Amino acid sequence: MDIAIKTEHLTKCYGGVAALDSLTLEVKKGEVLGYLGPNGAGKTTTIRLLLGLIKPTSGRAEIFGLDAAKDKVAAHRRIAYVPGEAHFWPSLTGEETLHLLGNIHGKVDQKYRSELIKRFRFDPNKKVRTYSKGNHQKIALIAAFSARADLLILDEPTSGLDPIMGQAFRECVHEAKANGQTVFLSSHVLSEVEALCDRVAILRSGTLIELGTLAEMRHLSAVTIEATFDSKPPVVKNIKGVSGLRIAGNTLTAQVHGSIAPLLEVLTPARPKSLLSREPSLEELFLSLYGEEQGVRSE
Amino acid sequence: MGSVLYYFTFRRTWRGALIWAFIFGASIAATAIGYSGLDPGARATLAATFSTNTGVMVLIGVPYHLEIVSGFTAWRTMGLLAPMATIWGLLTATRYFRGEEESGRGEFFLAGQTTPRRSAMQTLAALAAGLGLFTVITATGIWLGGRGQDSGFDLEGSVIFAITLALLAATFMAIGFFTSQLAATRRQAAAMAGVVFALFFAMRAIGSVVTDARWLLDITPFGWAQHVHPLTDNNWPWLLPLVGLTSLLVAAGLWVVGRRDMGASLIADHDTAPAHTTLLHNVWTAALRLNRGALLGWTLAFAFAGLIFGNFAKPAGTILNSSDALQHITGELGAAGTQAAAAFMGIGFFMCGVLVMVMVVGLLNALREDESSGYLDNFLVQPVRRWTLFVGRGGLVVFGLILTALMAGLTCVIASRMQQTGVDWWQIVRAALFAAAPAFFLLGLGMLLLGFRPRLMTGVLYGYIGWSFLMEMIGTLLNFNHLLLNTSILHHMALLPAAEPRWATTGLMLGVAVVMAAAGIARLNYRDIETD
Repeated sequence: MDIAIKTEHLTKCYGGVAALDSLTLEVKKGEVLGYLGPNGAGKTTTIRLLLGLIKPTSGRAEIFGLDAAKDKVAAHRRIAYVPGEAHFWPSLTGEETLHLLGNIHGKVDQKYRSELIKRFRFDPNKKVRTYSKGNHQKIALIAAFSARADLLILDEPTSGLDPIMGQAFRECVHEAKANGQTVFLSSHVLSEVEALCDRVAILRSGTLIELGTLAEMRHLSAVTIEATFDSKPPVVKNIKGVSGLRIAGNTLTAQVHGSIAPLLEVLTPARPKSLLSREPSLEELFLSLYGEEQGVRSE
Repeated sequence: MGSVLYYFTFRRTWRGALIWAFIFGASIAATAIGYSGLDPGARATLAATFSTNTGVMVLIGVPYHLEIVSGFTAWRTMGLLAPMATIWGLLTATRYFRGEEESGRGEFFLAGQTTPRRSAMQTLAALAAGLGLFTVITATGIWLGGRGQDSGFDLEGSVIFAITLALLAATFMAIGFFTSQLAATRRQAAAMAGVVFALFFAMRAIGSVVTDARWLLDITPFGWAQHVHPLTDNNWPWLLPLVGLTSLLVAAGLWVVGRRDMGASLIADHDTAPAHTTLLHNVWTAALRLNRGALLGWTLAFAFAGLIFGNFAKPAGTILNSSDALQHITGELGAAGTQAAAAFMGIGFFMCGVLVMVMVVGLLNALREDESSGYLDNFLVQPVRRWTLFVGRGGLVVFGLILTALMAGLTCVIASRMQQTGVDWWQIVRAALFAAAPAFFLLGLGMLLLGFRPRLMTGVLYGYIGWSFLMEMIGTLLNFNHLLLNTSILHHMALLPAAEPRWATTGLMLGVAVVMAAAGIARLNYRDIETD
């Protein structure tokens, strides 16, 4: 079995409103999948369905071939989970919390756990009630990574962490991937997803709208062309695939969908001083997709 | 920010004030009604017995005017209700001050156009308004309860009685407010205020029984309240020390709150602690570890209650024997022809039965809050069977029920032996265990609701306790239809050890409880986890 997560038409409705609508998705073993979407898109609903905390209205989800709703215990033996906002018991210390979580999961790499405590600069002797949000998150991360689970489900795992700890988190994900573990990473930190993920899934209003590698997505998206001339740029209207045209002084900026050849045919005779071509970042891809949604809503 | 915080706090306080006022007013009225049934001879016997009973004086205070309804009612209910009012006061204050600060919610208000001092003043004003409401309702309850009896409750006495209880609560709210400035956590603030409570209570107890130490009554809030003698002498000037101490503590607290940093405390917190992992092995033992504070508190409370019933059994039994009216009442409750002390214990364990139901709702509510706030997710995302988790939490409540019942029974046995009531120890322990049966039924109902309607659970359970109590208190007196009375779970309790156990009824009650709990857990096993 090479599939870690498989969902088929997975749907969850609350009072007739679909929080997640017919999600069909496969995550391969050893893959790091970035799961993106604006607030309320259905990311956490997907994760709670995968964890069997809520049951689907229709469709199904499998974890390593196990039904996520029916074979929860067997599935959970292979999962470690980090919530976006970890709630631990205020009266316990960090050490006691890690001890409890490790005992209940039943699988802890003690040596790696000690290493993670150092790496995340975490003081486990303090009471949980005294910890900051970032430290709560560290407990969840240390418990999850030290379980060495086959599948890591991470729901906005770095919220509250400082950039240095964010870097420590990236190291952990790289190590998990090198170790053959699968990572399902829901995040709003797009640079993090861009740096870590093999593939990205983008969710909008409960529906999966994009799934693929960043290269595939970029190929489908517009390329930004910026050309600077000694004098006024040439007229480039009505060229196939060109949009978002902007002219500032002697500099022309445009987005091009598909081949850039027709645009170059117009620009080259005007002898540009410089010509820059830039692929969109994940942030630009995400914003362009989110922007479309906003446009639809405003209509 | 105007008075936003005042209204916000009052909105969260007024229901509690109303409930306590109702309980206090009803308790005082019920005592008056019950005592007015005694003939003068029985009252004289009672006065003579209580006046020389050291145990009673430790628990309630120096007896006075016991031969008249108003005197007995004020002495007995003041002694029993004053500790409840003060504990309510200190817990409320520590929750609204240190608790809000500890949770970080206080920062939202302080980020607005206000200062820590103004914010604290608004909260204090809201608490004072809640106490005002409490005073009005309690005074009305006392006055109405005293009407129609030969009690002699006048409006002035009723108002002074209610004000005394409210001022006691206010004093301990002020103590809670002040300890909230000293301690870093709500728990520490409550513990400090608890120590002050224990100290003042001990001073009142010693002052009540040691003649040479009677001056102690003049320097403790419990003693000041006792000196007021509401409904009889109405010595209202003794309210002034309560007002003075409250004002002093509020002023001191406000002085500190305006000078310290948000989240800081005058006494440094021990943030670190060595790890104690003995009970942190599985979900069952972890539940015990995480709820041990609540269980310990309830166990001590029931041990104390058992001690009171055991101590009171003999003198109360003497009164019962000398009063035809009271013998008739206990006979109606199924305890005819039995030892009077046993009949009194039966009534005591009936009250324990009601209180243990409140404990069950508290523990079930903690489970619901664990679910809604996300704590339960920590377990449910692990390889743990859901039904195991919920059976464990239900088992913890069962453990708590049996433990508290046993403690109430055993301490009652000890006190009963000391008072030489002559009631067999096994009968007392069995009575305590049977008193927990309705709470088992409530546990089953709670698990059923947790499975099918989790958001309604707490409200429905408290509502059902209230309904059952009302049916038992009012319905029996007014001869309601038996079908209506049967809806009260308390109506199916036998007044053990005075009456014979109702094995069949109790068995049925437990059987229904098990079925309901099983249905609830079956549903919990696959329903959606509902977080806020």
